[in-house]
Amino acid sequence: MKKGIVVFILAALMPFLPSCGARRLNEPEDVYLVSALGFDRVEGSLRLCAEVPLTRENEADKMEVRCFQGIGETPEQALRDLRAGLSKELIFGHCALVVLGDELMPQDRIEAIDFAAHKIKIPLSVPVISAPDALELLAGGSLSAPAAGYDIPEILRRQSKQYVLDLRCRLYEVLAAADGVQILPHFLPTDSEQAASDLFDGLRRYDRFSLVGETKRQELIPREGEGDGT
Amino acid sequence: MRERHERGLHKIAVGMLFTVGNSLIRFPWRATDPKVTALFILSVAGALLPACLLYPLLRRLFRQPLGRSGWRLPVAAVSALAVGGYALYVGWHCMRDYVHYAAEMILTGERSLLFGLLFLLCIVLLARLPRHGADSFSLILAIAALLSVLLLFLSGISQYRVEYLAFRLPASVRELANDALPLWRETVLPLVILSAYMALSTPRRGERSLIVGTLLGYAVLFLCVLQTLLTFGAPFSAGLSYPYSQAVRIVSFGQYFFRPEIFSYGLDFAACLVRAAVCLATVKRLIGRFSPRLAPYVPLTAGAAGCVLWVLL
Amino acid sequence: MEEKLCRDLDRNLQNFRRLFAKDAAYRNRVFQTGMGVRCAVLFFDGMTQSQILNEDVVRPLICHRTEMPGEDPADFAARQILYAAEVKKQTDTNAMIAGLLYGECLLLFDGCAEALTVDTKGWRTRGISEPENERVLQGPHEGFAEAAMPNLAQIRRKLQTPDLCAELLRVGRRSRTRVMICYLGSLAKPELVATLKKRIGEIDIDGILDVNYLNELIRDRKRSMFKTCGSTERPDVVAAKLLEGRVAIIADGTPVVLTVPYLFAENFQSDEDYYLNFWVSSVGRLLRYLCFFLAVSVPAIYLALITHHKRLLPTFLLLSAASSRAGVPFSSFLECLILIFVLEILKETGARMPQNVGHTLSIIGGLVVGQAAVEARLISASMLIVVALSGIAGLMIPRLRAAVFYLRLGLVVLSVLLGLPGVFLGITLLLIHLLQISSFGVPYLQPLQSPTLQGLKDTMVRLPWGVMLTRPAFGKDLIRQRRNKRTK
Repeated sequence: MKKGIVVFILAALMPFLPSCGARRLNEPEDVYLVSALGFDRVEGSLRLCAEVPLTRENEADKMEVRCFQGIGETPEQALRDLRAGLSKELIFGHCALVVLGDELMPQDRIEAIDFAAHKIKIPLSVPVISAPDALELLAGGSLSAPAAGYDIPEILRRQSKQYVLDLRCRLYEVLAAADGVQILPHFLPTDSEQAASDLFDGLRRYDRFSLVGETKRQELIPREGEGDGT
Repeated sequence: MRERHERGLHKIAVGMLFTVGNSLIRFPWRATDPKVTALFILSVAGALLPACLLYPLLRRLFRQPLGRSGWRLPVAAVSALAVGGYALYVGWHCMRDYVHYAAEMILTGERSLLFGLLFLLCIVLLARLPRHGADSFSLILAIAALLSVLLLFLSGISQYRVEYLAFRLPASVRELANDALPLWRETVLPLVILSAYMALSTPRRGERSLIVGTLLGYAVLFLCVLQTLLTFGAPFSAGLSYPYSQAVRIVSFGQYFFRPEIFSYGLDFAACLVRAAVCLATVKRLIGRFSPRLAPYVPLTAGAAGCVLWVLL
Repeated sequence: MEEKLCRDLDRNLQNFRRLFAKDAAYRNRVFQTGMGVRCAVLFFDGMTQSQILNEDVVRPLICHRTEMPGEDPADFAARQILYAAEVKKQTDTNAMIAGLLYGECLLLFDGCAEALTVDTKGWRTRGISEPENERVLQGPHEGFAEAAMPNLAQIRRKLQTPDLCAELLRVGRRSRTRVMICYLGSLAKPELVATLKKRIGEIDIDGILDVNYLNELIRDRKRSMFKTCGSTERPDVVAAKLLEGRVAIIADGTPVVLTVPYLFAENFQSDEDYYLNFWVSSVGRLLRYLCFFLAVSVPAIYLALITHHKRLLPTFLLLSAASSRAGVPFSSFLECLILIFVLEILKETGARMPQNVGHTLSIIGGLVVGQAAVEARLISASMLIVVALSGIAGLMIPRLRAAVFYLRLGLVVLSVLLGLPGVFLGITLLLIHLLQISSFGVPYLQPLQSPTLQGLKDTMVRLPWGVMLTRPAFGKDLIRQRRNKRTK
């Protein structure tokens, strides 16, 4: 009986063993890690852009950031278009930011958020922000961190310490509030002349993903004991 | 005395892990809504029914000599058939649920066939262990599972929003029953098998271990469900697949340790494995009551049949 | 050879000469004793001590002139003439031959069908020295040697009680090796001793040259990579184990002594845990448990994370792993396998080489494997660090060396096939296997699998002696010490 169990284990593993070494599994250098996703409406179509940091051999601290884009009627089509031009698989598990362009329709926003959460399954704790142009924000890079996807959440975190912000802009919070009010931070694209603090423009209020109001950064209430931060 | 105390601890661990089982994977989140408190209390009360009512009955039926004539033998045979059949059903579904869960949430690529076969192997080996071996296995895993759940619950405190918990009693008994039935079907009814297992494997009276184990299992379930509800709220949870894993995924300890969902995978792995193994062990002991010579072959036979089914399906 | 001697000395001598015709070390001398009886002394050159033979056996027999009317010459010589301390009368030729072959000398008398064996053992043995593999910073530095009796004497010095029992057995059809079962009568369970004697009695083998032969023939679960018989070269360790109710097996010809039962937790105990402060010992114990986990699972978990579960790794760590792997031609799995085998090769050669060559080898191994291979992009730095960490952690628990190697490999294969669920499955199968094992009736995972407060006080940590009140549960008398008023 015991021999039978051992034979069973070996028989179960044998067909799969040759695939271990011969086939390269998804090694970390064989994939693109998406650090941020952006959605825009451009010429009647939906544009999906993915910010990807590329590392060099043995130089993890020197990152080059690329923005790949795809166009389609729906987020799925846009993703297919984006993937068509890539030699590596995209991994969304490390996505740190979702950017919604100001030109998006309310329905586009719902579709984009739903697509990000349920189809490609990016982490639900990822912050969602708005920007005039998602691709411009992501392609413009960042002032302090290699990729905007890693930098902007940090800026947001620091700003929430400086101002009284009741931010519920994480992906799952935005989805949970889909039938109500969403408050999203608004960011502007970087400019080499700009100070880091100018990236954060303020808050935008949406009702069922339709814009109903905005609060500029200068109008925000600083926390007690904190200065303006500039 | 000391051994009795030790064995009691083992049975409590088995009870706890069995109660959790695949309940977390199959938890009817839509049923939670704002009636969560009432439903849980109802569920716990219902869970104690097998312990308080069924357990003494099953003990009386299966532990005493069957005799060649009279009512005891046919009644025991029919009960054994019913309980054994249900145990196989619950065990199979538990295994299938976990493997599908793992395939969707954890595994990449098409490896669920191999994983299912190896998981089935673990179930068979565990069911074949002598009584103390299987109980000790459960104790070791139960301690780890309990610590993981507590740690995750406490770590997620910064994400919780208390307003997501709205306590409301249901409007009518009918409404409550409609929501409670799925919960009972998934979490309470399988506890019949646990009562049968305890009745067959505990030489002395063991109601205390059964009740404490069940309550502990429910406490673990409650913590998991509570964490999910406090993080996402009931309506959003209902729309997610495996919401507890998703809730754990957003917990973080500082900058470098985040997405500790590996602990939730471990909890589900341990609970499903123990539940499926206990189901198979129950069938083995039930058959052993009638034919002790056949009992040792039951786990392997069931395992072989399970392999064939798994490959075919 | 005939089972009994005859009364004719010449005929007896002829039989012995015929038996040992091709043995160049066999010697015999015939002489006239002072009693007026012809006598022959038989011995093996190199096995006996000449001084005892000459001064305490031959000389008194020749010089002691006396009358012994009607008395048996062997009896008379044993009682009145021979100066040696141990003299035995033998009638069975097999016992005579066994004694001769063990360094005793045999005295045959003309007209007497009985012989005398005299203890004249003089073969050389190694002196007492500290075992190479069980060195301690603090505590006794004695070790066993190859002779069984002096080894028993070392244990007896530590346990000066008449309760110490040492039963002699002979094992091996041709080697007839002396094997002693040693235990404290009031502490070891009779069933344990009986089982052990039964298993040793069932051994049918040509020869026992080392105690490991016994180990593999009497142990439970003969094919398991986890040993169920303990082994040590230190008398203090054996004495401590006897005080816990265990049984020791001393075999002639080897300095290693077996102890049974042997449990999983003992793999993590160090000999000096009880000689150092309990704080220090406890840290060491916890480190060893941690190192076992690291040694077995770190390569597998790392592989699983970088191949199957990239989202579980911190982003920058993943990017660092990606950049270090860029340009490496092998898959992570092959890389890991290569490094594991290279590490084992380095460990083995380091252990076998003479010390001066071993140092050079370590430097070359470290430079070539470490530095040059990474720079040549044959392996990645991150995988090298992971495997090296696993290898170093494995060195903390030398008793589990084989198990760690196989488990590490097995988990690596499972992790590459199934990721983290594969690692869970591997650990589950390991746990199930450990739960199936028992050592002479005691579950292998005791006291971990049935935890009690007293049982755990000497498992993952070592609490102070004043708190450890009971022996392990498999012994007879559980009270280790009685607490007196001073220790309260």
